[in-house]
Amino acid sequence: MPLGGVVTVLGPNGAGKTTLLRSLATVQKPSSGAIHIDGLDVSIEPDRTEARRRIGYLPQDPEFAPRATVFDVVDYLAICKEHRDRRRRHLEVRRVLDAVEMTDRAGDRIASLSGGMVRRVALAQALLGSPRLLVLDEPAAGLDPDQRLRLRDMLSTLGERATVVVSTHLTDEAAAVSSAVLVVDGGVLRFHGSPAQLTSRAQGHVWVSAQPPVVARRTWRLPDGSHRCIGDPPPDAHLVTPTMEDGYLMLVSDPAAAVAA
Amino acid sequence: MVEQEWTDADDQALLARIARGDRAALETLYRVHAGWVTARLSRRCGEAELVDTALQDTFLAVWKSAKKYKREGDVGAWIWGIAVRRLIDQMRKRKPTPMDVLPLRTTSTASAEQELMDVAVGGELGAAFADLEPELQQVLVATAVDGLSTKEAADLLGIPQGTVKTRLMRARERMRATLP
Amino acid sequence: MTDLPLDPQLAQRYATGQLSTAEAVQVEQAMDRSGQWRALVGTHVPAERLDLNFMAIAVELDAPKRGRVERVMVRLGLDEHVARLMAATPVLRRSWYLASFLVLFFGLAAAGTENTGSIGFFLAVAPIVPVLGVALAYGPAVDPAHDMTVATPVSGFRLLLLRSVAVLATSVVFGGVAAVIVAPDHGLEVLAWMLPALALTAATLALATVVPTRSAAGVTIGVWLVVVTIVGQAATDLTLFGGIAQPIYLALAVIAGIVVVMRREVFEVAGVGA
Repeated sequence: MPLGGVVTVLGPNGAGKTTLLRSLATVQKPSSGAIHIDGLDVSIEPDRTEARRRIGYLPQDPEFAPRATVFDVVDYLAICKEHRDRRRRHLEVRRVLDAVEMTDRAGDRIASLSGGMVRRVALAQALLGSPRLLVLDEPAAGLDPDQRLRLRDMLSTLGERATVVVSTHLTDEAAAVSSAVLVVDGGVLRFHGSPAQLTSRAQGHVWVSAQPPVVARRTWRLPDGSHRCIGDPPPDAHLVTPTMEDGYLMLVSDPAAAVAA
Repeated sequence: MVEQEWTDADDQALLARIARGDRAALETLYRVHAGWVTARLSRRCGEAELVDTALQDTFLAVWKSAKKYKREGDVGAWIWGIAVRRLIDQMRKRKPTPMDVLPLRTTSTASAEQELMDVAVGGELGAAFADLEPELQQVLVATAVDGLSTKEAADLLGIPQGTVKTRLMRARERMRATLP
Repeated sequence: MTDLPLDPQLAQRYATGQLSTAEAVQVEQAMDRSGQWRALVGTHVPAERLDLNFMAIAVELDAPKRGRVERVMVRLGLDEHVARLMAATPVLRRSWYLASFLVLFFGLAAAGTENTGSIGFFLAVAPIVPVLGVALAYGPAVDPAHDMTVATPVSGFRLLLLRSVAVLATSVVFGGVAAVIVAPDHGLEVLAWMLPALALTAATLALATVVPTRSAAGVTIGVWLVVVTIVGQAATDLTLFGGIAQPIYLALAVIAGIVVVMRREVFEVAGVGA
């Protein structure tokens, strides 16, 4: 995997995105194969500990002790990340809480936060120490469009100095910020390339027709009554420019598609 | 550069507000004093990290003990007295030595060394001080200028207390010898 | 005496460390007398440095106070960050202290009122306390942020050990206090549960490398109670805690300890102790 940039992992729910990200974050052993981060083999010590010094991880459903305060849980994880000097550590905690706009809630108990806020706290702890590899499982979940935009901005900025691996099922989200896209389906890597390459998969396969198609793989009705479809052309159809979502749908709807890398 | 003179009365007023828990007052006091305190600490310790920690500790201590400040002497001198001792704490932590309770000497009490110092650097004896060996100058500065005990001076300079005492005696003799 | 006239160049050379001690002392004495001199010297310290230091001060003023347990640990000489790692567990809370103290206290109180023979009940129950504590000290079942912790460089094995030590230590202290209060005349046999406690705790940790920590604790406690019951019926109450038995507990603890150390790897990824 190249260093730097935002790498988005796309795939249907239950396709193995979380498993892939957990393995990348060294939380779980991969069922097969080996994970190397910066040339470090995470299955053995002391490489794994060294790799963990460079990782920030946001799990899919982060939780914290409900009675602890926001500051406490992030401070605790900062200790786990070897920020020993109390005062510098507190500065770093403050910095990451600022980054996710949670400074005002620093003294509040976790139990008093909404689900979205808990996710932001979890994102904050992932940012501790400015890791070189950020593994973020569904960071956009539960955010409103405005917050999503700010997240997008943050990911792009982070991507300048770190590799940011993000899972999402929002293809627009991925198209907006990614320098590379992975598509996993059924636990298998189906695609690895740039957003443009993924889009080009659907080139010449996306149609709009007045009649409901019979042979298309995926089809939906547009507001004007016409039908947009992906796959073989229906009668009286005309080709349209595909989006990345089309490329993605093209890929996951084709069980015979070869693994591309 | 220096617009209008900031007076000790202004400092006293700030301390009174800090004693009531006014964070803005702490920040103002910090803006007035942190610069020179940093510069002065840096002359006693080359490690910026220790100086920064000592500076932070100083103003945290000011925040906590503003109530205890007695209106004797200058607030600046009071702050410096805290700062140099916090620096000593940092030096001790770096090189662990048995901790004992520090007798807090106020910098305002003029000791024999201090009077000597005033005469020396202010008057015609400036040259005599300048002629002293650097290590003798160091102990004189620590004890006479900073008002530290010999124990504190020893920790600040990283030398045994006995050495501080002998050097101090030598410095005094040398300075006295040049007195008319 | 004459005051040193304000001299921006001299101030600049002072602040950048270019003055000899003799010259510097003159500047410092001027600073002691004049706010203008202080301000002048202060301008030569970078504003960013001062800003950062003030931020550190502000954050420190906002930072939550340390918990009581942590303060005790720090006073006992532990590093602040180690104390936090140890204390950040649901076990080291008031409810746990209270529960374990009450078990030990009443266990002993029940024994203390009758003859020495009934102290066997206390000795049988007491070792269970630290085992329960260890079961509640670490792992995904008790730490909702376990996944995030696992992804950090901190060693899960080290965390588990730190907290087990803390749990054992509090149990021993409470057991000792309870003994002094309730049964000062019982003599040394009120301490006879300590090696069994160590052995059971170590056995729990060893089992926890195979099954979740809570199941491991359950198995250990179950086996212990069965042994206590059987031996208690066959022989006297105190056979299990006599001079022959104690070295066996020590040996058990050592063997279990070796197993734990050899298999410590399993504590470094998620999914253990679930």
